[in-house]
Amino acid sequence: MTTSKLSLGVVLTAHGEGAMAAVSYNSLLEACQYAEERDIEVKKMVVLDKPSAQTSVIFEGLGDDTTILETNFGDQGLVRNAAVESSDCDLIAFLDGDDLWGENWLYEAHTFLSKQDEKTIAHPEFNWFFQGVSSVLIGLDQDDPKFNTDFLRFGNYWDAMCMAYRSAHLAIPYCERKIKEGFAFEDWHWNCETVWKGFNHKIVNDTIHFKRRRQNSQTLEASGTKSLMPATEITSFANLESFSTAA
Amino acid sequence: MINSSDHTLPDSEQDENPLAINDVAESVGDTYLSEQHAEPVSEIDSLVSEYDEVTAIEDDCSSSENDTKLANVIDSQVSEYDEEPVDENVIDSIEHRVKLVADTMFIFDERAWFLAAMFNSDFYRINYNLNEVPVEALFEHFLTEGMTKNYSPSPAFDPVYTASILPAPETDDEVDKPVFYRWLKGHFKSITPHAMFDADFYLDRYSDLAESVSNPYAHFATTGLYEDRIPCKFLQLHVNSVFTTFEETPSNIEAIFSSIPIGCSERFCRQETQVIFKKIFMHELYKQQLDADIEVSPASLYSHFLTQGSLNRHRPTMLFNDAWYRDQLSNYTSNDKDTDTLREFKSLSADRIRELQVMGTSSSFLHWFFNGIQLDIVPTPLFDTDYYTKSHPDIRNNWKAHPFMHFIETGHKEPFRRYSELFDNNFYKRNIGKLHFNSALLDFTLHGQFEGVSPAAGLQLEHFPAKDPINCSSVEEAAIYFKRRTRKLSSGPVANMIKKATALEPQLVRPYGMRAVRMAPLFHPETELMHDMSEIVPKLNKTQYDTIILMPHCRLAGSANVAGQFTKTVAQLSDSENILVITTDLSAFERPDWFPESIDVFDLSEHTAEVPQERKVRILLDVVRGLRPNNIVNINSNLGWHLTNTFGKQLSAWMNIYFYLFCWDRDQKGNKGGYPIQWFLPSFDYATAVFTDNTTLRTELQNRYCLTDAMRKKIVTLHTPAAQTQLNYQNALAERSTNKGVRRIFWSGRFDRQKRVDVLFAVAKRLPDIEFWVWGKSVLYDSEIKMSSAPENVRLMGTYLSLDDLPIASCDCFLYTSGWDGLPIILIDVASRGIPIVASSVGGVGDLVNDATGWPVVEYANPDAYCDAIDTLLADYPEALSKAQAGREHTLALCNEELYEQTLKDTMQL
Repeated sequence: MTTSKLSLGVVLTAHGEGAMAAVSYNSLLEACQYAEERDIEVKKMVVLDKPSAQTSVIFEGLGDDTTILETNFGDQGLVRNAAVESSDCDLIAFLDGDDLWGENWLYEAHTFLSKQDEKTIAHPEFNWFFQGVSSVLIGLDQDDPKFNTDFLRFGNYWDAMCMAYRSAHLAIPYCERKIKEGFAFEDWHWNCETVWKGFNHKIVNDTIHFKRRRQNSQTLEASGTKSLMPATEITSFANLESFSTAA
Repeated sequence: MINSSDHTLPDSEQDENPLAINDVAESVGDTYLSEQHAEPVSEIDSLVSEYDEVTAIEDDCSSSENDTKLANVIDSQVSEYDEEPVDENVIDSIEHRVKLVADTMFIFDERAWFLAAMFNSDFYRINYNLNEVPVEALFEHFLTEGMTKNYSPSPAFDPVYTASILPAPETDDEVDKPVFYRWLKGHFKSITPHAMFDADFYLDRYSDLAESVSNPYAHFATTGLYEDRIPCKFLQLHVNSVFTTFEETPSNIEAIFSSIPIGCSERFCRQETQVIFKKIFMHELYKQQLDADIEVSPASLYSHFLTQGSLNRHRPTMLFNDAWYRDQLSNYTSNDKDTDTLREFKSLSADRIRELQVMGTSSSFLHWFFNGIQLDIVPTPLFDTDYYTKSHPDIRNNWKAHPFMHFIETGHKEPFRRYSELFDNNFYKRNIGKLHFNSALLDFTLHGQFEGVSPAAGLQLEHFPAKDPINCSSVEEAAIYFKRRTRKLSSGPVANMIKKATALEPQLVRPYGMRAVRMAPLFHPETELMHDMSEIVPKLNKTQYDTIILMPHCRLAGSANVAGQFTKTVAQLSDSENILVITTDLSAFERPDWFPESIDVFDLSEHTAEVPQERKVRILLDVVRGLRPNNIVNINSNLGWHLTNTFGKQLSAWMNIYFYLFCWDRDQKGNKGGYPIQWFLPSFDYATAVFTDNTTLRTELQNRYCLTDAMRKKIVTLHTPAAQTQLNYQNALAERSTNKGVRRIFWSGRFDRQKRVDVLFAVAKRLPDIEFWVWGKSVLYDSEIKMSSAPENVRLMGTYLSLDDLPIASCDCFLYTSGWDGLPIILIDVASRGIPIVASSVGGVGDLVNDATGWPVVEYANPDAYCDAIDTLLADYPEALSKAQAGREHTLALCNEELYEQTLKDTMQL
């Protein structure tokens, strides 16, 4: 390990994924190994939030190099906030308990962020959706001329499986997901809030994430119930001018 | 070094030339149209079904006059050509070549001279990628290396065709000999080695050669080819057609020969090939690329393409994109997913693939057709094999060849076929309105892209400007962009990571088949919404309002009048400049005078007329969320109801929501419907308050849903204030008490089903001595009663702006026959003016008309009941006026502006 390098905390969040979380954890281990072989210090953490019995079993007896944190939020955003609080690493990368990283994600994103300021947030070039759907989302860099802040009122450019400085998460924690009240998409909301507060979302070339789309996934549930993103300054027309001025 | 003129033997040599042989080559006649020697290509063969189509060109091109005209031009060119000096000092001279032939092939006669003269070094170098070989060494390269690989030394020699017509080798030694060697050694005089040369035709056409040339093929290969002499009838027809139609210089025969991939001369001329070419040739597209502002037949345009267009990279069809094909060809690898490989593995050797990849002197279109197809290259970025097969089970299950071949044959002409996510025929047709060309894709290229019409939902083409829109349209640019961006998924480090991840989770690659590509905001389902809003937001006067009032439109309707009254009152109670009225369903604002001038009015419907309902709701959501009002009030806006039905819960967390309800409706089956029935329940929980304009509806809702006290209080009745409180018709009508003349009754309303014009007519029929003056017009056009069927004593008076413009003093009373209602404004207006009223006792009418204030008719559909009431009223007119006065006082007390204002203030806490 090189002490001058930024430390990296990787966080797998799981609740009711069961055996699928094992696949995600294996993906996490491969990405960690890839990064560690390239001289990056990685601290692994698994956060089990109201885990099902099957999910808990998966993570029993893990080695000492993985911190297990149990929470009772029932809320992805709050789980991530708790993980950030518990971590002491410079950078944090999240992995949902049913998704996978491309092997080089941690290394490439870490290398990229090491050259950026603390207001930079890294995302993969591709999001590969599988199982329930078959699609690919090509990521767009916030500095790309094609980027349009207005789009954030209608759709999300990036998901929560980003890598960012811990300070970014402390400055802007995830909001609570309130599906019963009609609000969800805490990752979308976080992206809006970070953009509004001057953070810069960047794409790391040649990286990919794999997103499972189950029929009963929370994302699909939120879409089906016509959930909205919670209030954010970006949706206000009064704030549109500030974006166009900045542009 | 040898230049192009070296292909012609010097005049001085021609007389003594060993090539001036007496043997006459055996004519190959029409062998180029023969199928006997054809190499079968299953995909192409499968396409051929309409052989009869090929006759059109022949019919167009057979003019002997044209031949003469053409020959004169050719002759003048030939003479110029012959006069070019020959450089005798080159190393690679004819004599040197002849010596090389003698040394290597042991041929010492005229055949050596022929080969030396017919060898085309440029053709040879370009087609076999021999740029590193010195030009002067190319001929020797052919003799020692190229010939053994069956390379062709000239555009006039087709090794594949020649091999197909050579007799079977007679000795073992001959079996391994190259095609060219066997032909030159044993069949030079007897076999013509190119399918597009017809010796009889050649000698017949060029009489100057008949006596001096004994081997017409040899003349053509060494001289005629470069003199643009036409070697066969097939080419003559097309060349003539172009010459006579376009008045362009004759075609360059060498270029035409060179443009045909080596080994494909026979297939090029074959009838079935021409059938396919014509099937996919798009003459409108082709004509657009010519500067010909003349009427040209499709057949002539096709001839132009064959003889000139393919050389000039003119685009023959939307199914072929030159730049894309070249890119695919140069980046081809046998397992490259981007090339849309056949599902069935086809084995091609690496050498064969390399051969097929060389375009050389071929035209790119012909190269694709004869070679690219063998590599399964799809020559347009706008065809996605997986998408095509996934969308069409008939192709998936029954089509054995490459799906693109189906697209070529019939698919591109079938409007229902889906071939690219980026081009949706139906979506495009909906957006463009009317197609100018048969094919949507062609229409887009020649028309739609210049109108800024997108051919797929969510695709923003402004990000993909086309530098050359005819040859590569904006949607093709988009397709190329996405295919290039996703190329990483097929090869390289990202593809390797997919493989590794798939080892961890085999589900990763499922479901199989098409993988949709999205990229916000370039191509994303939500992008259209952003696009819509980018046009709407700048047209809003402000970025924030305190109160937003949603109404469907502002036509001559009671609800619009109420909306005006409501807005006026809110404006008085708050900052009127912070109020926005949005018309959501129709662009009509006929009565701006009903609204305060200081408010803003925005016609949202103008921007959403062509938008699907779900997106309309999202647009309104964004407007409401973006303007961040404290209050949103829906006064009969259908879109507003949809908004609160879908997002009422969330909106109620951000703002107060109010609804205005007037009355339910009755459908054709007589059942109750309308907003109070359809929308009350799903929206009530999220409402701060619900306004009704009458107590009857409020009570009905409270009782029907057994509301709790707190819930009951959420339903508030706002009786619409009377507009005029000073006007009283009592004195004017008093004279009617002594009237001995005609009695008159006036009726006013919409001639719609609800207002029961049928009852009015029945009453009029029963009371023939009374005149009925009727004002109004149809609005909904849902009544079965024709106004032309009105009884004689009914006079249709038209419409009016103000009730006080009417000759009310000439009438005795007002008749109202509505089948269901809230509290109609007309009743408030009439009652507040002290006019006697006979009215159906429905809905909120009872709030004003009761036994003390008028003549309510409970049996609202019974004409006799109305007649009885009218008889009673007219029988004692002073009593009628007395009741009307009581009605006026009651109305002014109930429909009172101060009361309205106070109720609104209390409810909305303004």
